[in-house]
Amino acid sequence: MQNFYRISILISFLLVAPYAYSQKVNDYLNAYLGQNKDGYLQPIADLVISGFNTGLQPSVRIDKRFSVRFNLTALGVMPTASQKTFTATTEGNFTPQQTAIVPTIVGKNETVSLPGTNGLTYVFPGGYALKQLLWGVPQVSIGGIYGTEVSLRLLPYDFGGDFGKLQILGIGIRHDVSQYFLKNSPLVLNVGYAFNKSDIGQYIAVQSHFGYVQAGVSSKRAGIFAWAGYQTGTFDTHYSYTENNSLQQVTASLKTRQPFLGGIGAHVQLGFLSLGAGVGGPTPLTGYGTLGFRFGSQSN
Amino acid sequence: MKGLVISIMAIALLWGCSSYQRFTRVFSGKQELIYKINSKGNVEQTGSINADLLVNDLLEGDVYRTIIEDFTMRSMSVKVVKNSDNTADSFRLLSITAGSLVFGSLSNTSDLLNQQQSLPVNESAPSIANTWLLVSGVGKINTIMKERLIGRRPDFVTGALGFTLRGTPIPANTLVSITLTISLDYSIRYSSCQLMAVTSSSLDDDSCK
Repeated sequence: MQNFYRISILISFLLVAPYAYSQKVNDYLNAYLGQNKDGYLQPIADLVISGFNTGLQPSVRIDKRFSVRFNLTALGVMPTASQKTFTATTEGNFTPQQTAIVPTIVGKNETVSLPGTNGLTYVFPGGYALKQLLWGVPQVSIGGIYGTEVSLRLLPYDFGGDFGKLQILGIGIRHDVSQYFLKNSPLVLNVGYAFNKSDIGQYIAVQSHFGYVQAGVSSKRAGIFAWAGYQTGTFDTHYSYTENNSLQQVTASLKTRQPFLGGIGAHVQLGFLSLGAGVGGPTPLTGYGTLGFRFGSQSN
Repeated sequence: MKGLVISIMAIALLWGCSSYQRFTRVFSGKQELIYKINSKGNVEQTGSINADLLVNDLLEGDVYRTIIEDFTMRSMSVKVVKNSDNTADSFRLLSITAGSLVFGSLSNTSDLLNQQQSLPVNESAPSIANTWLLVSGVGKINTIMKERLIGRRPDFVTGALGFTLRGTPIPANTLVSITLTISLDYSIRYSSCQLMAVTSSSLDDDSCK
């Protein structure tokens, strides 16, 4: 079970199992050394940061009485067509310098070759033809504090070896502002903020901020809602590239290029069990489902 | 309870399972031919690049399921560093002949340069030599290396590429004492097996099982 858990987490984050065949996460990242690395890796930054900020709200309802919810959120983040290619420039001594539309890390697994001077050829690598990036994360939410809910995502695990430590820390706060002007109404309006700081092994460090509004209708048993917000985030990737038996350390410091994030969702409450689902977007498109367990005072 | 949560997580995460799939990748490398020249007359020296050196950096991966698919030459540069006893103004590079190196001699050769080149010995910066090349010479290098590499695993590569350099000092009868380095940049396309969620659109490859 321990190994199953390990492999599940790894796949969910980096699509890899570093232990099998002695493969390293590095092997998935090190396609480029130079300036093209940013364009190649950018979609992964956008997928991960938008994924972290989607599914934060399993429901629109913030309990008025003290409660604790354990939620497991599973996400599938799908790159859009525009994220599958980027404009790359030939590097090094290749002449003449040219640009080409080539695959990103999530793009087609097809190389692109450009003819150069006197029979020389420049070859750009392909991507991994990714259709979805999957992962799941547990979340604990404490609600019923003057219409406010505080959430915590914490997932520390040391895989050791090549991968190193996976440390996910997410803190969120959500406040029901509709309580001040909508009395006894099924309409709900929340404002929220989420902070995330994660180290995905020794390879990736992510940090993001997300402010949002959430509006919907809710009863004791079910609710539907929409949310929209603005996010910023950094995604620092570290990997190595071996050339002529010389190991070179490469760093790509990326920022999310998708600041606007929104979506719709729905949830049902079945006793202490809750189920939710929703989609986020527009780029990347994210689908998520939540399974929750509620403990605390009787829901109002 | 912990087991239940982990199981649910694992199922959720693995709703698509995962599998090993064959992906095409590209490795860009550089090899240097170093000629130490010290002569007052005509120079003829042969250097070589062992084919296994070109793929040495691929040996760290999953060698058993890695197959080399293509080789292409990307660029060439030439660097001259003069020694203290040099008296020549420049070194006239008359020709470079490329071919398969078999038992110390070149076979299946082709000229690499489209014209003679005069290399000043007081310049230490490398010169990009792409415009000096003959299409047929580049093609010969590609052909020889493709024969050595394509369809092979990185640990089963043998053979060598040889380069015979001919030149003469300018002015004549002066001592040309230099280290001449020819750098070849190349790309190798290869495929290897990597674990992916099945949500990648590549298909399973039996060679990865």
